[in-house]
Amino acid sequence: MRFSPMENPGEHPGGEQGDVTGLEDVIAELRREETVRPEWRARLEHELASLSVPDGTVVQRGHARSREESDGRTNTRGWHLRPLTAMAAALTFTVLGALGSSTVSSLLRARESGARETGAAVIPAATAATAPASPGTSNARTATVDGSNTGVRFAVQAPGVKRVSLVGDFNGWNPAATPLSLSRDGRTWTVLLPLTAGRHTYAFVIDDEIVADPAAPRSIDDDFGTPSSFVLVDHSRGTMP
Amino acid sequence: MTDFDLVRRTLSGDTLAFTTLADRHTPACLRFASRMLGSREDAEDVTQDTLVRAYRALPVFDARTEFRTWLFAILVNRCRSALSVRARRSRWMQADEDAVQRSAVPSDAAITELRVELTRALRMLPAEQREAFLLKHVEQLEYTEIADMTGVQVSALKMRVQRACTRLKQELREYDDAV
Repeated sequence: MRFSPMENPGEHPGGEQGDVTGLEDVIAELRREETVRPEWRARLEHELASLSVPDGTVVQRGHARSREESDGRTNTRGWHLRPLTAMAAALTFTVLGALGSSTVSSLLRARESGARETGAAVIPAATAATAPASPGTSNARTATVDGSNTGVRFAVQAPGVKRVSLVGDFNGWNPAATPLSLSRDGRTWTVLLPLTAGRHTYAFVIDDEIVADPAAPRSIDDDFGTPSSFVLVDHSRGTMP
Repeated sequence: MTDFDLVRRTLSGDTLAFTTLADRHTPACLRFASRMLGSREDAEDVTQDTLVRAYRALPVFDARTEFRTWLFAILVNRCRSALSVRARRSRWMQADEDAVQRSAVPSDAAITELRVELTRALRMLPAEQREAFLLKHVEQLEYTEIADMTGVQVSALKMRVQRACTRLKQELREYDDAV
């Protein structure tokens, strides 16, 4: 088979499709479907069977629009916040390695303080979050390092919304798996979550809208077209959003 | 049954529904990944990873999005990651032997030669041009869809496709002249 490209392709700017004159045979060959090897399919089936069944309802991001209303040409990144949620998001989204603190700065101070008090390199914030306080101690800052007992507190101020949950690689991105509880102040939603060491990608779901945490780094591995952030949990060094 | 129906059934606990979805889209995924990575073996790994990630992320699937577009968004990123890893290792998995051995039509020498040459020509394209060309002309997606899944502006995509076409013709003409 011989190819028949144009003689002077540089002289033909082509349309917006790119000038494919002379590439018809090539494209036809490239379009040939790949066969699926039975061994590979069996391997995939086995891996899928080992996973827990994803649980939840389909999330409709942004302004509600039924599938029937959709023209099928949707923008996977084109979600919009409702005004109320946008205000809530603008207030603050903070992932805290929980030390009973409400700000990152106090968290950092606690880490530094803990390092001095204990002589450890850094008090792991995640560990301190769930480690039992010493008798007579009302503050978890005195917790000792315990890598087997860890937790990260996720907190978001979102007044006036009905429900907030957390999705991430740790719960299969299931919006029903990790609901946040509304604190007594009526505006702060929190959840304490045990997390293994490593990098965790997450996002909040506020009234069915997925919102990344603007106070934390955006995940560069945002391969679902979903806004998401990540948090690093290091049992020896603390939690770093 | 539409893709959307199968997504809903999967989320309702029907595990076979996702298998049906996977069967429906796997050939196209393998095709894109094979052309993109130049290796059938790598394409299988990336496709499997893509389908597993899609399965896990199904609860956040946007109902307004075509499942195929969503799945390809994951696949494109998996391929980029695979290429990135490969670049760090400073090696290219030679596709020729792999393609020949695993080809569905190994007995047709002319076709095999063409596929090998196409693999070589595609490999000569910068990855971003190869990606745009394959999505546009092989997977036949609209520019707006490609822009959504890649985060690249439509105008930039058109330029990449145009340059890919020109480069491919040059590469293949040189081959044609040589044989």
